[in-house]
Amino acid sequence: MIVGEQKPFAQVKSFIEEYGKLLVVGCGSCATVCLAGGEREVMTLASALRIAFLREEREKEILEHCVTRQCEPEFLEPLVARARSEGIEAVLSLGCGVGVKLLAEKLQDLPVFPGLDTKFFGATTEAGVWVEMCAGCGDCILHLTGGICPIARCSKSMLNGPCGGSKDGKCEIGPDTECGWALIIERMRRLGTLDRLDEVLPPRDWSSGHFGGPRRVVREELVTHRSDDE
Amino acid sequence: MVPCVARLSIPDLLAPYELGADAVVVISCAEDDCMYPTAESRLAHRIARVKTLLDEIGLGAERLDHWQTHGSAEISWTAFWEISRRKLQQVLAREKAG
Repeated sequence: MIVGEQKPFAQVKSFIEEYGKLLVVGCGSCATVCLAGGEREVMTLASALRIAFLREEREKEILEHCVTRQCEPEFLEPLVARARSEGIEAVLSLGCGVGVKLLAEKLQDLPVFPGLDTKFFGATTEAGVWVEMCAGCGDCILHLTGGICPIARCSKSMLNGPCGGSKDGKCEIGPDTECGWALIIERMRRLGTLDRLDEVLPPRDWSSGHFGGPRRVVREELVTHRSDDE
Repeated sequence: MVPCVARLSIPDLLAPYELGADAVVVISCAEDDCMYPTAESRLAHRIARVKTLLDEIGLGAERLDHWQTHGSAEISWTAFWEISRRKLQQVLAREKAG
């Protein structure tokens, strides 16, 4: 899932100070699972904002909405219609950065503010703990590394670790961070595939990642060519 | 109507402040007396979260009290309520004094 974390309350409140009618929008997918921006978090944040403005004796209307997925245009249509019909002045999104961006695109002349800091692609390792598992680099090498990603799990994204900063399975950046390469070696030892690390690989092409510029995936067989229909 | 304080969600705990309440007092069952093993700790987490939010809002965490019944409910609840009431009076007086 995409893991996010709510921005500090004061920062979120500062975004919306000048607007009278606000819609707080949650996302029923990743943001719900990581307990940052689902229906319950929308209720909580909207309530907290109402109390804060009430305390300042400032009249605001803060409404709530949650869509199944903020990253799919179809799910945003009812929200766009609601925003138009109810005279919403600004939207606060508790979706990830993708949701904020798509909402902004669909709502055109309405300001859309982020309520979350989007962190990473990760998994829940225990209740309340999320760990980065994938860097979305566009060139997956998990078949070579026992299913553990050195790009995401190694602090230096090294392809030939562990480095000298690895000690007792921990990374030099902090005792809470596991050494990604220690995890890879342990896993491959257990699988009996450690010898595969002896293989010499060509230099990696990093352009498949974000360093190559904004990316897109196009599957021609699924694309509806609007110009053909019109 | 909330049948059990373990069912109190964070929005439930915030709702009274929206309606104008100066403070909220939650009185739950005695420690280790709940038949659901994680209910007490979950409530404690929610209370802590709401206290943080109250601080961030500017109302102050002291406007939410959580007590656990001790001995007789008839006696302890009255005592808890009185402590919370006096504390709130002090908070309001301090705020008024600026």
